[in-house]
Amino acid sequence: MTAALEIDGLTKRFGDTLAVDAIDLVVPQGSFYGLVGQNGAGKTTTLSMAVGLLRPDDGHARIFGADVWSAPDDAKALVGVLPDGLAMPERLTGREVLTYLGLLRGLPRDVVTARADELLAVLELDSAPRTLVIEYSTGMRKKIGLATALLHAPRLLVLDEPFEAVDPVSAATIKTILRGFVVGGGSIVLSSHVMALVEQLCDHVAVIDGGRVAAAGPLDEVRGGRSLEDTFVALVGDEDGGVKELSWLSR
Amino acid sequence: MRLVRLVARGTLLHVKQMSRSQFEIATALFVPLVQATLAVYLFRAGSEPHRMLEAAVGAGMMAVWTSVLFGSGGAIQMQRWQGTLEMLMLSPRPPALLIFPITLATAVTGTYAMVATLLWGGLVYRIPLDIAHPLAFVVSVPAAILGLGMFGLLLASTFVLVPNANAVNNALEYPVWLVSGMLVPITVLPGWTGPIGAALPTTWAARAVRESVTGAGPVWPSLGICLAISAACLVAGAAVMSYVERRARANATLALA
Repeated sequence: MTAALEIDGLTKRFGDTLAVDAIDLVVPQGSFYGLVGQNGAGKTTTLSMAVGLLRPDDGHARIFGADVWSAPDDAKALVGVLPDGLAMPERLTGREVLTYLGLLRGLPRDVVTARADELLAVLELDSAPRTLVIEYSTGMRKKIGLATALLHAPRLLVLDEPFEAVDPVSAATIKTILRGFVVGGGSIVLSSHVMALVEQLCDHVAVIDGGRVAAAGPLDEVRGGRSLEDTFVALVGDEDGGVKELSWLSR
Repeated sequence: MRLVRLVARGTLLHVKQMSRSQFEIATALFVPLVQATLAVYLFRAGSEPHRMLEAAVGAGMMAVWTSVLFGSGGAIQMQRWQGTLEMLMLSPRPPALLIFPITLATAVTGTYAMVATLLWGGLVYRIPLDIAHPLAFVVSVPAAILGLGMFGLLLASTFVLVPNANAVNNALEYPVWLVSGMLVPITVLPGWTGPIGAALPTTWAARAVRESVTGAGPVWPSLGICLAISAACLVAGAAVMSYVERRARANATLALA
């Protein structure tokens, strides 16, 4: 079966810094794949290359077999992306944002309208039809970001820190949508440094450290009977880095 | 047809986005009052009161150019600051098609200032809206806007390559007003400015609109030249935009972070 996402030797260097060092990853179809690592480990750089936002120095990325760089239109049609952060056109309503992006995706107007209605309702954004994005809460912004990623019915979702700064109620809604997407045959790659979240949602995981894959595979196989956090700490560094306490705060 | 629809709907949404900024609207409404006042007093001092409408329209065109210069010239940088450039570039469209609606929208919102200039002129200085060729006027203004929007794509794609693009923006505002005949008639300028002005779509846009107001000449040749130069700028802008996109994807500059 063709992989949802296949990353083969992706490499990226910024000046003297090797940000991503020949990473290989295979995300099986129908999987909820977690990508974990410390800040600066190379997660976002890897995902940016995987979805075509950043050109790699070497290697390939294929989405359901479509090469991201040699067949970008095919690949882009199959993937929905929620980038890190909360950026959206600030002075449009949620519906206008969806209409605009649906237009850019080449969707017919009636399809955009119907999907926007459904997305706004399911994500509980339909109660604020005239509210501009600039007035949205963090949770609402993440939700409309997710709606833009889902609008064109992708088969693969790539989410970079989708729960960062999101309140528990909004997070629960987003989790329900994501689980439903996977149950319906979709595949998800989720980047996070929150281990508990990855354990809760994902069935596969890759640990990225220093631009390399430290471990990858089914979640239970990678953590090997321990918590993912313990496994992660064992893989990427010392538990406490030698720092025991702050002398001026100790009694 | 789908492309036209994409550009039209995209432009409309960007116009909405820009029009909801109170600062932008306040600037578009009140700066023309200053410009119209200056123009009116200059012409009164020169004993040419019959040219006050021409001056008011010229002030309006100055505002359109300012909007295009700063809005289009900084379009890509603005999208990066807002964090929305990545979102746009994820769509399966050529980059020029993503940015052109933005530059066109900057030209459209520039017309707010032109309308404001004519309104201020009528309300404050009793300048009658005595347009020689009304039909030509209502055609030439949108056509001039379209032309300047196309020119804006070239500004957007080239300015992003220039370090300190804001300084370039500032340096270009007044000179283009001058050589395009928006601020003073071209005939009073030194001869060497003629070829520069003739190469700019702003000159022909301003001339077409002025001709429709005064009836001093045929509007359509000026409008045709404006659109021809602008179309060439659009093609050049699209080519540069592809280069800019490739470079941004290689250097990780689609986003600020």
